[in-house]
Amino acid sequence: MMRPLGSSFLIGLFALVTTAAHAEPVQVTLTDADGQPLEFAVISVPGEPGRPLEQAIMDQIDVEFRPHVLTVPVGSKVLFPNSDNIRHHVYSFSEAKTFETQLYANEARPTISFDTAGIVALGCNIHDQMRGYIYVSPHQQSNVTDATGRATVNLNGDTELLIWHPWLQQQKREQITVAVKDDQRELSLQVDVKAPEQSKEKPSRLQERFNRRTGND
Amino acid sequence: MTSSFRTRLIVLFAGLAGGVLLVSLLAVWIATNNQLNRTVERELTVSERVFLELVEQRATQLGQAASVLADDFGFRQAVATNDEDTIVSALVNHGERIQTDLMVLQNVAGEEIASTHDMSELPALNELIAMGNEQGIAIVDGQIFQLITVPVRAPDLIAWVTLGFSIDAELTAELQALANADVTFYSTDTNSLFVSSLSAEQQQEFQTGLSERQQTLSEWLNNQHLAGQKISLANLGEASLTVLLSTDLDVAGAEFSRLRQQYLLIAIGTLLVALLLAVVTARRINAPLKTLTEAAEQLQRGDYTSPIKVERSDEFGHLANTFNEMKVAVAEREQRISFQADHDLLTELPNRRYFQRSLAQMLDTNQSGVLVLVNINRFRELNDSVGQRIGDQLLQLISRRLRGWKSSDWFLARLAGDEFLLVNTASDHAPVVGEIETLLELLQQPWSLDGTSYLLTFSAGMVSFPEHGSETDSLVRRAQISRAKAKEDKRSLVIYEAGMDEVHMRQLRILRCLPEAVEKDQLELHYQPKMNCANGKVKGAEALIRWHHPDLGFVRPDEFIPLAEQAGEITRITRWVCLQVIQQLLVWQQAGKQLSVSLNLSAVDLMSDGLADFLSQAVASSGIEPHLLTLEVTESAIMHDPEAAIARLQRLQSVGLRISIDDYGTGYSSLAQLKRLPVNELKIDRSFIQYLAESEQDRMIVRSTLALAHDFGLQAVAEGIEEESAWTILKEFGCDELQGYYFSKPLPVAEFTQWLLTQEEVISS
Repeated sequence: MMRPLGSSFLIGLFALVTTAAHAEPVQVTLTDADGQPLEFAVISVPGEPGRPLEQAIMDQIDVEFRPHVLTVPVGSKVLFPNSDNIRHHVYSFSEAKTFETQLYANEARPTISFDTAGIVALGCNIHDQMRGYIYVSPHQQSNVTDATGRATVNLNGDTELLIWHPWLQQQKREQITVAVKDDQRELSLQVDVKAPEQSKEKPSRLQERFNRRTGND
Repeated sequence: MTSSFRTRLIVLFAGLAGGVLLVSLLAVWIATNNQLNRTVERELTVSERVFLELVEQRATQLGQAASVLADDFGFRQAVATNDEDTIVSALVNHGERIQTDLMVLQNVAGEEIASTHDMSELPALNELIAMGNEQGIAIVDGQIFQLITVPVRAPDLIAWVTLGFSIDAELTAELQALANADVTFYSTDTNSLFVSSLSAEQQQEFQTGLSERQQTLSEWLNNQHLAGQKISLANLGEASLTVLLSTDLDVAGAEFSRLRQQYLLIAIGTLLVALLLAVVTARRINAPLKTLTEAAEQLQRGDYTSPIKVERSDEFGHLANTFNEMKVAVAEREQRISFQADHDLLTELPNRRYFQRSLAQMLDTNQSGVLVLVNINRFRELNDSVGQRIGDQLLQLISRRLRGWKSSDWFLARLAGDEFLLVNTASDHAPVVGEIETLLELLQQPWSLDGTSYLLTFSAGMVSFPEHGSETDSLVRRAQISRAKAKEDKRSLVIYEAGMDEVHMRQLRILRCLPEAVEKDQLELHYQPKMNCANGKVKGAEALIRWHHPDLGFVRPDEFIPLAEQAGEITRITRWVCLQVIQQLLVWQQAGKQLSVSLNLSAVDLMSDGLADFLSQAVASSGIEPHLLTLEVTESAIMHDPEAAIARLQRLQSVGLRISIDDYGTGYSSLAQLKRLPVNELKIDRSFIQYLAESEQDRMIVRSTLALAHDFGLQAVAEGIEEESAWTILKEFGCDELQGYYFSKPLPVAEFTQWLLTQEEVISS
């Protein structure tokens, strides 16, 4: 089950390394308003956008989008596999890309290209709780913080960082811009954002009952 | 009295029952009232809970309906793509499907996307969202709505959709049916009613009452006979919106009023039963009381015969029995009392009362018969000597013998003391006299008592009725007179004769008048001259008493002196005579006439020392010569108690008074006694002088008596001289003094004084 995630991650990392070959790596650590590590934040470095990807992957595993936040350079194509044994109906009403797949299983694996920079909020018409984001980046670098709130960006001279997070999106807020000095190698930032209360939803009771009956859990 | 007791008993019963019932009725009233209030309160609480539950349920249902809309992919797409026409058509379509009255779609910032109502009428978005957890009731455009607001996500939140469901009469009616209470939505600010399940009339009254007449809510509730409870709905947009749950007290209390009515009926029934019981009890108590009262009245009338009939085992029965016993006891006692009233306790013979009644009855029925009074002679003396106890026992013996003798036609009674009465109504008197004589003989037989034999003598007097009287008292008196006569004559039986009573009556009157004779100056002294036998000249006089009573007329001395002696009046009379004589002697003395006067003493006068003292004193104080006064005493007067009489006469003689023996020759005095007597004079009785000229014997007696007197040295006086021949003979025999009609009859003082003048010479002795 972990394998597909791992492969997609490696692909993303490779891209980043290649685009900042001679720049200095800077580790950025983000915390939220409560001081907790802020995962799924996108830290972007302005500049010429990278080469579009032929096949980024937004998988659906355990009725969740994986990764929860995917960054792709504008113009990239994203494959939507379905690692669950149930069908999903993925849609987006976002301005950057409005689309809708019909119900599909893994065999279908639709590929959708994202040609407009912006944030595409993904949902599944069958599973309301499924939420995923594709950051169609017009920037030089756009990296996602891990569970510890860390991400590494390669910086070259004084510049600024753009920070985005799904919670900002949900609150209809713009990206946050942070200025960075050339000599900074580490950066810790507290982002004034809080987890909305709805995000701590538990799995539905009905789902639990279903899982128990089929023995999948 | 009886009815009052009965009434009181009934009033007591009824009052008791009524009081208890009243109190319990009051208690029931209060209890049911409290219970009603509690029940209504509880019902309203339940109603409130049900109401709130219903509203919440509805909110949930509405929320679900709203979610269906918000989750619709097409709707979400329309909203996300801002396709206004599609949005409105989707809202209309969905709204009609779920019959909503209000629909609002606004973006996350609270800006209108589409709305059926003016946004300004609606609460702000955050308030609407907050309502999602509550009932969501709000006023919009003057109407009440239940509002539900849900998010529209695509998949992030892009808008809020609000659905509103009007709360109308239909819904309140439904709520009323479910919550079992009328539901009224109204504003506490304006007191205006929005919607209610109350009747139109009540709603009207609410509107006008609260807003116009300034009634408070509770006043209105009271007027409408309602119980109400206000519910303040939390988080309302309008704080003044209030829900009133109300219930009709009459309906709620219907059960209790039925209970009260039933209890009232029971109470009235109980009261009636209590009254009935009271009446019955009163009658049960009253009936024997009445019987007993009647019985008591019978007793009062003296009717002891009819028994009291109260056949009961309780106190009344006991009382009646006691009454019966008392009646018997009273009857016995009355019998005993009436027996005692009519009988002599000692002899148990009928008493005077009984006898008088019986005799009066005989006389009233014109019966004839005889009445015999038997008396024991000298019974008092016997009593004195043997004692009262023996006397009483003798009386009992006598009555027993009388009873044993008496034949059935004799009525027997004890009058008093020793007096017994026998009455017989036989028409023929002759055998009756014989019977009485037999009886008297029987009574003379000895009486044996405690081994001693007593002999008694009896005297009896007999009267016949109606010949001797038609009244009980006079008959008894005449019988007593006859008996007294019998005793006097020492006979056993005297039958009354006409006139006996008159003599007796005159004697009684004399006795009655005697005491006043001295005081009223009815007595008078007459003087009969005493002559010197030798020369026929006046020597003195004998004072003789005369009594002239205004009614009785002239009363002779031999009639009243014995009575005066019996009555003890003689002492006073003698003293009066003494004083008169002394007075007269003084008169004559002053007139120069030397006359002597004799006066008579009674036997009674010699029985005490009184007269001797009196005379000594009187003579001494008057200053007369004592020898001029001569005291005449009969032989019998001395013979009664010679020793004492002689001593007293000696005393009188020692003073100087002269003593003369009157009526000498008729008594039994012996010469031996004569020798001992302190005497100065002998007065020969007139019976020897009367026929002196004719009788040789008399002449012999007189001559020898004169000789005797002279031999004893005594003066001799002869009285009763009526002819000169007697004087001649007596002069020859040597008599000293004479007295008699030949010289003069006794004369009053004045006439005696006149008579003296005719006598030429008065000789001084």
